[in-house]
Amino acid sequence: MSDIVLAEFASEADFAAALAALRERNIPVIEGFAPYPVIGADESADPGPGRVTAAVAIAGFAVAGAFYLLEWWTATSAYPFDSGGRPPDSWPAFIMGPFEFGIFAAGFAGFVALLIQCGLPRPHDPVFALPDIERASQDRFFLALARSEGVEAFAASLNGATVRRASL
Amino acid sequence: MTQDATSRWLDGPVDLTTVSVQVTAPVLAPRNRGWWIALCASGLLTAVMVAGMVYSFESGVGVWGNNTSVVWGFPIANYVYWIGIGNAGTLISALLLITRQKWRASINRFAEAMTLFAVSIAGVFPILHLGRPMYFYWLAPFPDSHTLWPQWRSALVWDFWAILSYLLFSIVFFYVGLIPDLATLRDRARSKLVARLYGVFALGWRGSLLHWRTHRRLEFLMACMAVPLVCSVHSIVGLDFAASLMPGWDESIFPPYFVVGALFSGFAVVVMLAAWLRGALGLQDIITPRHFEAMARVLVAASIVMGLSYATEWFSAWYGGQGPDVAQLAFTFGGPYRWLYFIMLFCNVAASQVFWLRRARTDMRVLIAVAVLINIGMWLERMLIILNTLSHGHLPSAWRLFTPTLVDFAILAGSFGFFALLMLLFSRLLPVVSMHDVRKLLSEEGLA
Amino acid sequence: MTRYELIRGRKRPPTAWMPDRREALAMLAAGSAAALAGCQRPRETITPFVDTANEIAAGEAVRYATALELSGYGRGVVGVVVDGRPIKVEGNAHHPSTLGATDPFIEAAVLDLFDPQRSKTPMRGPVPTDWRALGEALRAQTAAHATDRGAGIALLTGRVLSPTVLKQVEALTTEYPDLQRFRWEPLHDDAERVGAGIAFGRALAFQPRLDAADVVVSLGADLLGPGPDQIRMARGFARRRRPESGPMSRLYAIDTSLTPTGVMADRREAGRPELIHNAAIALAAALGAPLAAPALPPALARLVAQAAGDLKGGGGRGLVLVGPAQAPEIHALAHWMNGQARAPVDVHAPIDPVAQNHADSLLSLVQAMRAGAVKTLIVLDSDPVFGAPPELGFRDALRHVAFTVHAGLYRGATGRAAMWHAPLSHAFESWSDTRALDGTASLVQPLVAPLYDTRSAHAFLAMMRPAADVGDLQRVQATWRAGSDGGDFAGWWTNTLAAGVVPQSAATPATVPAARLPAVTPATTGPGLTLVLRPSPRVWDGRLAANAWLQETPDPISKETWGSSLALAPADAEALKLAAGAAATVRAGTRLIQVSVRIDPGHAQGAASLQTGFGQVDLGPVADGVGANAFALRDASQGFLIQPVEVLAAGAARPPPATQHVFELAPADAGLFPVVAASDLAPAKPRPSPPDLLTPPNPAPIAWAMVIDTSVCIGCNACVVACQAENNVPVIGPEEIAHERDMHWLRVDRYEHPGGQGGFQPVPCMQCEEAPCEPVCPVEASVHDSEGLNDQVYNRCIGTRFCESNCPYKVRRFNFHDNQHWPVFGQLDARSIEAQRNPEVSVRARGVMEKCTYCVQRISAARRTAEKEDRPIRDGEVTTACQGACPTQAISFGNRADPSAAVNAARRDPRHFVLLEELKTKPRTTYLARAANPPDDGGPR
Repeated sequence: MSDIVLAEFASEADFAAALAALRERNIPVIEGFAPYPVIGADESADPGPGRVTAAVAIAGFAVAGAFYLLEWWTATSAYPFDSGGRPPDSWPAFIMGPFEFGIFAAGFAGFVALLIQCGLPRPHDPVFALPDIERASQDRFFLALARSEGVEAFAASLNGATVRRASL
Repeated sequence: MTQDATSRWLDGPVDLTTVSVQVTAPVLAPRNRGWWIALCASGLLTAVMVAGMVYSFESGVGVWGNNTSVVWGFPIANYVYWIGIGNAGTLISALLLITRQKWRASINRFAEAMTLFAVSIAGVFPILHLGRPMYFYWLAPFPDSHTLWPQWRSALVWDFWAILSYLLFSIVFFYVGLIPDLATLRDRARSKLVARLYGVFALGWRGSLLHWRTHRRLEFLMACMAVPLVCSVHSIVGLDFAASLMPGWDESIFPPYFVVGALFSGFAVVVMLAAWLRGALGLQDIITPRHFEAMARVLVAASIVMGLSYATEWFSAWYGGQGPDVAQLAFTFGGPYRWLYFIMLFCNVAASQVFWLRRARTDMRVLIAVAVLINIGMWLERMLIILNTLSHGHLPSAWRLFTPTLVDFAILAGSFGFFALLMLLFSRLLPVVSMHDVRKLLSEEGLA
Repeated sequence: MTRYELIRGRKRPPTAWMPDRREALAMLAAGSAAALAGCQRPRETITPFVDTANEIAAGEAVRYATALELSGYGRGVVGVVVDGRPIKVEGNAHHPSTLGATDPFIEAAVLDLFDPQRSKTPMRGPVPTDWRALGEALRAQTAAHATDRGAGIALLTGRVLSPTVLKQVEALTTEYPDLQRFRWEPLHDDAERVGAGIAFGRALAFQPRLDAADVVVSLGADLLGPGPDQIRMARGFARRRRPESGPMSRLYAIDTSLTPTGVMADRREAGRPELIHNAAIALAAALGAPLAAPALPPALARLVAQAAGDLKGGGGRGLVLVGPAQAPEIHALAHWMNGQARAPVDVHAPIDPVAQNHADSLLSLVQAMRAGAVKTLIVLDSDPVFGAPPELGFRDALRHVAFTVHAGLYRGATGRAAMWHAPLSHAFESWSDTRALDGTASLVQPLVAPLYDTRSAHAFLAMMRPAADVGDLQRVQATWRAGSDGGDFAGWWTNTLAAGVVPQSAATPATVPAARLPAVTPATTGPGLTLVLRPSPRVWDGRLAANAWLQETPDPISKETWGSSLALAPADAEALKLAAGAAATVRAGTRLIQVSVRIDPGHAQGAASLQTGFGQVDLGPVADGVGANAFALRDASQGFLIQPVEVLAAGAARPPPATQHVFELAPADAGLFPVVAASDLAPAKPRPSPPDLLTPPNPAPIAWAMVIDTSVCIGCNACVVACQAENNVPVIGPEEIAHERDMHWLRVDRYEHPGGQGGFQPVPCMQCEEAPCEPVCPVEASVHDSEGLNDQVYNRCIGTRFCESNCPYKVRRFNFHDNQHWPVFGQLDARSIEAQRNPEVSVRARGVMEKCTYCVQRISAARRTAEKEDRPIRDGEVTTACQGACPTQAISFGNRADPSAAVNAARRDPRHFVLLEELKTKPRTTYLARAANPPDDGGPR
């Protein structure tokens, strides 16, 4: 547990401005909370989304490939048979399955990646103990800053901020 | 910090606070008896469906109208119809997301729910249709005592994977979008129990900036994958027919025209659902007349494409001049099913043209009436695709007509009841509008 | 298959029913049908058919020659017996009436054997009793006649030709000199009989030889239609209808309703019976008879002129045949014409010893009964209560008789009306003998011991005499020991049993003077419609109506099953305001029946026609209430024409369900049934086959293929029933067929070309090389085997029906219900049917697809034999059931990979064509186009 300053904002504008101001002064932001994705909050720093993309791509192609191999193997060596004179490896007919299932696999992998990235599921988190935090999922914006003299004062000076002490 | 909204897609005093209040109210503070009445009604219809299915399993598919020539009947038509509805939800949601259509925010949630329910219902029919339904799992690849594997060339195996993948994918897509709203419910719940319940499903979502960044990326990626998935699913359904050599089926136009058909009927259902939810749950501010106008426009466009597809069918049959195809065309327009065909044409092509009028686009009664007609038309279309071809195949000696039985109708009617039942439960248990998307909309409109 | 058991367990025919007292007792007496699980072989030695192996292994099929009767005429057959169970009937190549082929009646006989509706125990009124009681009553009754020399005894039989039965009757009459014997067949030959008398001064029997006739004129004679002689006639006809094997004959036909003969004719016109009568006179006049040719409608006149020209010119041999409905004078006239045309007809003294007409015989019986002259009436295997004209009032005439007993395979109407009923054994259960149309005698040997407490006709007749009963075997042997030329009787007996025919037993040809020209006057068409009664190609005169296979067999022309409706010309139907399928009341005088109406475009105006044998009421759940009884419209003269009849609309009906609805081919579809002129047949030129995207499979040593010659297919349905018997194809009943479902693996389509000849097209599975049904099956239930068969793996099928929906020929059949428990038997326990099933063919469960297999079980049997003998399968070694049944040998089957195979010869025929070739399914089943003499070119050659 560490002591923090929790700054609460009622509007995205103030929240965004505060973020910018803090970044300017290199005051580290432990975490920000918002009821919806806030554009402008810097993403380049965060590897998360990239990892999701990678997971999606890899899982998709891997599963599709494996699926096609299964079809090819069953149709040509495991149990080959004459079906209306069609060739054993009727590849055009074999594309559908892998395509469909591959996409599902990709989506599912993305979901798993999301959970890992966001450290979910997590039923209990110190964050839930923060005062007023339940409004972060509705209409309020929060910033958690490491507490120190300067920071607390500066936070209080931010436009539209209600500052509280808390621990996280 | 309430202020008068000036958003194009929102009415009245909507802001971050009121959104959450309005949308979560039906879940956390339900207050209408109408819902219970509707639930009982749809429950009864569902019972009819279940009864019909149990009877079919018990006595065999002989209790339907299918015969030696028309071996496919209602179940296949119902399947194609429902999977069509099912296609629209995800397609709408994903397509509008990729194309950054702001009005998506108000409708994507229940459109996706519609997809889940419709696809689940659709998935039942191919199994019900089987002569020996208890063996449907033989379509799945697993090492069994027969040492046999699925016959991958069969369009039915493609179907199997298409439906399965699409259903599972849609569930994930739906859930991913739902997580933040579940968190909202968790946080707004008054009773501890309810909070716990939604908390579990919210997985501990905290709405941190990190969460949101990852979440946005995933939603976008899935939307990009959903579009080709949806198209392929209904293309494959189209291939069930197109990959044959029966006159009237072996047409390369089938896949695309099935996809448009799906979008068409799906949007019609969305219109109905939107009208219902708007009235029943008092979401007039969030689901606005402009939404209906936009959807009406889509319907007109789709109906024109449908008309074009039919015309193409006729033309290619006539221009190709192949005996069976021409005969098929003659049978379509001159055969005993012709009246159904004319009704179908009216519902699918003519009816939506009323939406060229602005008044019609905003008049709920007209919207709903047309939406109902479209769904009748689309079901008829699927039925007629089966009937016209199988009743009038290559050999005149095998020309037979189809007469449905009560069981056929019971199961069809029941499936609508079941769909309604699921939608009613959904409207009571989950936020029917994606709150975080609306909030996002507000911020984009500078109202947050 | 436990799953199957599960489903079956649920879908059993209703078990929760209470039998009424009668049925309960009957069942008690009959004993459980379950006993059939192990059928008993006959006690006496029975002799396998000539060409069968000596040692009999378990599960192996053994063939026995025996004979079946149709209206008294014997027809040599070969019964196939497996583990003591007769499962199939085939023709006997040594017998003149079957020539190795069959007809539907012969094929269906094995079902009668196991029919649960059979009479299983003697009955006294409604109460089951036993043979001892019946015997005592019968003997007591006959003993009472010792005083009146048997004057009070009347014996009514059908046509009896069995030497042993005749001998027994003989013996009876010596004991009771005044015993009155009556003989009656509802489908009688009185007109022929009298006609012969007019022409030759005495009764004679005639055997036309179609294979020797260059020109055949049919005047209402359905010479290719059902009957005891159908197979021989059809074979003879076919011999002259294959252009590649010699000059074709020409067939002219005038018939009232479209018949197989009319379909096969080179030139056919419809004419009401009176016009056929006049056409006959006109034809005779044209052939030089000093008769005034009556006026005919132009079409008929042209046909008659053309036929006359052909009969006179060209030095060929002509043949004129007249139907049973025509007046005796016309038959006599035909004899005269045949004399003119040097007709190939074998003549011999009649086989039937009774000279009296059938109608007169029955009439005199009823008069005697009413007059009280009959104290004891014995009805042997005849059902007058059903078939006699109502005005004879046979049923209440029975009340004037002190003692009545009926003996038959089924109890039937007469069996219920009589005081006593004696259940007779099936022909496959008893020793006997019989004679064919041409007099050829056959021995009848049992294939199985009686299944129920039944006795043979011989045993029954013997009961009337106090003398201790000798067995049937001894009785029959006694008959023939006398006949056989001393020598080694045992050897003679064995050989005769093995061959199935008694050597040199055919009637000796009679030399007859030229036929007298009869005095005959043109007929005038009376008021109202003329009704023609036609023998049913499915239930004959009604004695076969209980047979579910036959009831479900589609009519060759109308494709109606389970009953038959009144056929009318469109114009007449319109005048009477009758739509197709409507109900109508047919009234002749005071007699009337309810029928449904069928509109037959090929029907003659001013006439209506109706098939006999339907409308049973006391035969059992299968036959009762199916169709209407045409005999009920007859008057005492029992003619086949009823004039005038009134047809009145009577609301809606449930018409007999048909399996085909569209017969006329649109010009675009003409290619489905090509008809080629015999005159311009060019030798086959290899058609350039369009490019093939799929690489052809490497050539297999065996490639099964079938060619069906539509030029000789007469649509008789022998193949359909044969396939049903061979492959355990279930009966599904009228409701299912009305639901547009059917189960026959092989169907016979009939097509008409507007203004041209049509024909019959049997459609089994095409066994496509690039089968559309296979790639669409998701579970490999439909696969191709190495010999080119398109196999259906029943236990893998899950019933998606994708295969059938994608089959352009629609030859696959789906088990919509659990069809193996035939619903048509109502509350009867139908398990006995299971004894008929072919053990080599698996029984299909509910929800699976099934189809023609080219009788794969026969193929593998042949393969086993060939492998045992370490040799390839010979050409002709495998015969499919349909092929073996075909009277005209229209079907050839064999290995396409063997250049010398007969099937390849057929495929090289210029008439060879492929059904729906443009779909590139590459069928193994192909056809020969129908060859015909174009309606309007010159003579036969």
